[in-house]
Amino acid sequence: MRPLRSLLFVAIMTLGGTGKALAHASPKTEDPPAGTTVGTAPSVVSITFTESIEARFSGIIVENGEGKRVDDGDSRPDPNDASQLSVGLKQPLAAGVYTVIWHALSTDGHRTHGSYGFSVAR
Amino acid sequence: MPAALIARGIARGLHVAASLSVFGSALFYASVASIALRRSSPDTIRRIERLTSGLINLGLAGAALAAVGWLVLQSVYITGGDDLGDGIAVLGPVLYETNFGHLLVGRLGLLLLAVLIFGAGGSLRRAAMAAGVAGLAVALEADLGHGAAMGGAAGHVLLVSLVLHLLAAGAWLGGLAALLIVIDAVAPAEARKVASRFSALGAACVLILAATAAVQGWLLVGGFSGLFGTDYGRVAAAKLVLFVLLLGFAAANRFRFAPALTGTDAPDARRQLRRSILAETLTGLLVIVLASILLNLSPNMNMTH
Repeated sequence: MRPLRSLLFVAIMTLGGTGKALAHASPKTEDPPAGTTVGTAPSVVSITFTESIEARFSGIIVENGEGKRVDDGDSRPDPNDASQLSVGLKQPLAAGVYTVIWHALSTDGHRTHGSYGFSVAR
Repeated sequence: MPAALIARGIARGLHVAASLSVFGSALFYASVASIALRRSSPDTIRRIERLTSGLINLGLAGAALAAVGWLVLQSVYITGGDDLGDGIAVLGPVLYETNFGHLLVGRLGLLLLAVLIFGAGGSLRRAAMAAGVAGLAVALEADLGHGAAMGGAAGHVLLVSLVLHLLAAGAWLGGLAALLIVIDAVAPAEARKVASRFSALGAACVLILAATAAVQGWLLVGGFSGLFGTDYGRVAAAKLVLFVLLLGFAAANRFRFAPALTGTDAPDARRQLRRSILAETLTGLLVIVLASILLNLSPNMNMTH
């Protein structure tokens, strides 16, 4: 059965079209890392995406546990890395749980968005 | 499947199809039609030149019109909403500050240059140059593909395979309307030679299309789960059916209608060949539109941690 399924897959992909399955920008690495607790409060939150992104139409928002924004509202691209975006924080973060909400437009024209959390230890 | 996604896919598909038509028509004129032009009367040659030039101009106009529609729909999509006013408000930044906008303007500029080089026809060298410039415009479409954004070794493989895929589609499907013009204009024996040569070109293109689509599929999808029970799978299956239909038309032209052109009922064979090429052209257009809709769809996606 397995060869038959493989043949069917090849047929669909060969004759059925060029795929675009995983072809959107999503976070590859985050700083601070997603789901972690850091001992030192960060001054910047940055994300490196799986693809190069359009900075004009991409952004990062950071909220504290009460849903209030703690970023400076100025998402910036890395001049040396078209796949990296970062945002400064208004002041050193207090201990607590934070949510990073991001949206990205990859240079192949696809829009994605998502969120993740990290914590700052007391 | 959202209506906006389908509309964006249709606009993109029409733009790509029109671009392929400019490339395919110029390439056909330079590489295939030439064998019939040598043995045709001056009146026939002038008719072919006039109609082919008109077809290439029409391709440019179609590409430009569809590009405007695609730009507006893509701008609305980029805003993250569905308000046309919001999309129109960011038309400038989308056009001048994104890869999408730069490529759109660049491709239309190259297509315009190709049309100017081709002129009114009459020069095989100019037609070959026009095909080269239009081919560059077609190839640039691949820079909006995943491979270009992804980078790395896999990204480069994807980029090259998509360039070859687009050029093969252009050489085959983009040349069909120009083939129709020549088949209609020249003597049956010449029409048969032209159809046979185009079939050989088409067969090579089918092999390239199959190989490059397989590369894209394996690298991007990597499994079955994204294909069944999803919009992506349904559109890919519809495209598969139409692609098989395309192969059927191509085979009928090659093995049935073209040989019959030099048989006892040439006028009837020419009518049948004309109808078959027309049906192949329309089916090819549908395949390109479905491919463009596929580019906006993704199985197995999980963007949120």
